[in-house]
Amino acid sequence: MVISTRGQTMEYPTFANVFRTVLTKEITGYLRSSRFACITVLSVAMIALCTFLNVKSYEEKLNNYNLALREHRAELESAEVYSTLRPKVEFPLPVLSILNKGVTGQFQTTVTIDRERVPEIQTGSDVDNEYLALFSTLDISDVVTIVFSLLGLLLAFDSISGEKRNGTLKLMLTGKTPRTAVLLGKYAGGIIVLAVAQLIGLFAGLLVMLSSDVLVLGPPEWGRIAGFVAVSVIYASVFFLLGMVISTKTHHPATSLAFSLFFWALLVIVWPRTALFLGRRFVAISSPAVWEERINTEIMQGYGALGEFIKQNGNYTGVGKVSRVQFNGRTGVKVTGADETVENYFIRCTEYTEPTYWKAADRIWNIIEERQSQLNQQAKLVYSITCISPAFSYEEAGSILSESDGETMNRFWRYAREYRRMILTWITDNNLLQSPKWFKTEGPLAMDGFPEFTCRRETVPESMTRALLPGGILIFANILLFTASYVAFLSYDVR
Amino acid sequence: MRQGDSMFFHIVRKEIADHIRKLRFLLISSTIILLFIIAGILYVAEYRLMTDNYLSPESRIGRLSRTGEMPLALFEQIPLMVQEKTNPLWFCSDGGRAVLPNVFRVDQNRNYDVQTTYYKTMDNPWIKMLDFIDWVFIIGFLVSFLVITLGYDAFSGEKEDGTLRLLLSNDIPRHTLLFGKFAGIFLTILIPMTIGQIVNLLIITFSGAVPLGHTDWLRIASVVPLTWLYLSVFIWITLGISSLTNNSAMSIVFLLVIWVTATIIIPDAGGLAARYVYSLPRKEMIDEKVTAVLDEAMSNERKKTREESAVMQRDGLIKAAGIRTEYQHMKFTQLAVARSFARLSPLSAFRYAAETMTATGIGNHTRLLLQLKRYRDEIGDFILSEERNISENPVGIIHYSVLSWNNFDIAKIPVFKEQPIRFAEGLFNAILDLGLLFVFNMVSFFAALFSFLRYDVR
Repeated sequence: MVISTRGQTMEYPTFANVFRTVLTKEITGYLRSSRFACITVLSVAMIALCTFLNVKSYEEKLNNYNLALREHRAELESAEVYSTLRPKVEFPLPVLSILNKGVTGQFQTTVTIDRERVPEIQTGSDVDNEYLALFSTLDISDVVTIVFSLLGLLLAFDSISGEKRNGTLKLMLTGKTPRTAVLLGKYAGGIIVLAVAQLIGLFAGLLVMLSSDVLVLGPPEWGRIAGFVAVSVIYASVFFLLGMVISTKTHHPATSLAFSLFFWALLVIVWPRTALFLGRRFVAISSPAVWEERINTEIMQGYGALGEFIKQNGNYTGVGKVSRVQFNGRTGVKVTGADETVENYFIRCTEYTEPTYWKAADRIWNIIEERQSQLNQQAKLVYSITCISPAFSYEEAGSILSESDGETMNRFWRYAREYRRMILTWITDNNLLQSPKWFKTEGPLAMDGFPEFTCRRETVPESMTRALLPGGILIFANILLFTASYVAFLSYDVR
Repeated sequence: MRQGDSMFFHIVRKEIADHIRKLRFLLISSTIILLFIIAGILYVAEYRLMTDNYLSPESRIGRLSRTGEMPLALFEQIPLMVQEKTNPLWFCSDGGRAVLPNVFRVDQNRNYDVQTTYYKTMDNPWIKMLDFIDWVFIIGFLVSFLVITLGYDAFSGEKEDGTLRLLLSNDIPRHTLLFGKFAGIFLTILIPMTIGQIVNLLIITFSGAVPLGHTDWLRIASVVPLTWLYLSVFIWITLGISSLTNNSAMSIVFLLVIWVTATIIIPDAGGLAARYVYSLPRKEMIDEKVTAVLDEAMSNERKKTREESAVMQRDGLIKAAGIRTEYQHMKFTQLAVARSFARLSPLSAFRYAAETMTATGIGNHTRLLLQLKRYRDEIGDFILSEERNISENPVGIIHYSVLSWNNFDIAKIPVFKEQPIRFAEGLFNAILDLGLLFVFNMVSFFAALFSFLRYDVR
């Protein structure tokens, strides 16, 4: 806009001009600063190193997974009688757990499908050396959580107070320079630089991932990675804006820095730990001993079926001739060289005991389900308190997108339970409980129509929908902090 | 008093006064004290829960039979469970409590190895495990960070302001100034830290929930100088970097890089490094070997007497236990490799020393395993002696198939008594990590001295 007064022309800066100038100045300023270079180099090195180690560990786990699948298949094929059929299923480790390991390491990944027990979630890691859990393994998500929140703050802490100290802010805001344009320019400049730094870091991680021969990234994975990158940028932006709010509230960069680091420690380190421990106090769960006692009572009643049968019909040794009886697990039995009376004895025994075990399994599951839903509720409550911390919201969104959160584990175990139900139906449909092959070894087993285990993965839109809540918290924090910095900057005393 | 001494005290007084007047000090102090208060409150709640969930070995034995008697052959088949005693000093050093097994299965027939079972009294696997806020976490992770924020501009800031030139134009030897700065930061951080520790201890003591004995106080007292030793490493590093850079923004960035490397990257990378340096065979392979040995022992193809069959089965169990024990040794070796690597960071040396001093962590875990192995032998001897008492023709083989089914008095079963590690022994075991902390101090001190002596103050 050009205004003419007494023959002189004076040019007032337009919004767009100021925005463009500030944006260019900020970007070049940041890119030239040593703190940007230092932290970018640090983050690239950290991401590349931890991705390399995590990829190696994933390759090892994938190899173990494939070996285990082969072993489970061989085990199933070598079964001589139906009663010893106990298929095992494996949790397919999500490839993106390299980005965020989530809680996958806190659960066992092999499930044995027993007839007398509904698959229940088993805790404890399946790794070869459980003691190495004393060393937490860093993933890309951890690096972003720590390093990029610090970078966000370090870029922003002196963006206003630093310029005031240098005297440049006064110069910049002389005349009718719109403050909104200055603030927006500063924010846009900062966030572009932050995003570039993050993209460089994440790109380094991706390169390491792609260098692996066994790692396969399909279209859903790329969709998830895109979501992960977006959430990472939104997360870093929260801290950049926090730094700006602090910078507009203080008049000395050293004070801004002290406040910034105070809030960083509080939000990234202190709050998640406090909330995770404190939150568990709000939803008390009775001790495992109480549950174990309830379950044991059911087990005694259910497994008492065999004792009952023997009480009524006597032991097999008194019935007829048999050369060898071999028990396998609780309800599996292999009989060789039995005469007709012993065969009949075992058929009656199976018909009596198996349905009792199945019913007991359902009753035991009811108790376990009650406990598991309590634990799930507790976890939900604890997470909703902890999500106040942007660091935790980011971790949560990251683990949902990487398929390494608790719900993914629940999903797998649901499929395992469904698989057991399919096997029981297969047994009933083929009248196997009435067949001598249930316990008698004679030739190969007819396995036609034996159900295959499948676990449908969550689709990308489904995961994105679930990640909306923690992601939404981050977006809300962004809006809140931007508004705060806007209000503070409008009334900032530049003198 | 010599002139140098008075100058030194003058600098220290000035430094402390400068720090205390700044808003930065107020923020740092309130963070530290607040953390110790939160940690104290959380710990009291946590400790109450732990003691509620603790079942003593006596009560576990009492639960074996309602009548007070049970058949000896049955007793041989039921493993005894032993729960680790609740250590009141977990607030100082948690020692990976969330990860380490706390309930052990002791098989009476002395053939199985002592098995560790994942029985966690308050585990909720859906909740992500994070470190508990103990002293080691607060000081090792956060106070070290705050030391940096307190001292990052010790020299570079004064250079920016021009005061460093003025200061050194007087007749002050540079090393006096360096020591003065060190003492200033050290004493400034010591004030809130000591207040925090005292408040933390007051909360824990006056809650009445945590019993602290004489030895416990001695152990706590021994951790305090450790924290000083640890923090001084970071102060020397901070001063060194501050005198290497020309502006304070550069100092803070460099220091944060060092801090992230020393407190996060190196301690965590230990586990990953160990996996590659010393790899273990797959767990499934060991399970297969054990199953093969047990299957062979259990097979009753050949005609045998009951005694022969029992001996065969027992020997099979011993062999299987041997395989498991060997695997466990390999696990501990891998862990030792991981810890050696992690010791490149002062935080790990500090953490391991504090764990040893407070009888927590992996050191305490392995000691407990040894005690449990002795206890298992004791139970084996007890079964044999009891068999001689109740059986007419004792066979002398610990196997349910040949043991007597006569009842015995369960009150006679030896009870496991956990022997806590003696204080002096703990001190001895911590020598390596203490030595490392001294080395870190020496190295960082000489680096800071060298760097400051060469510092161009213009």
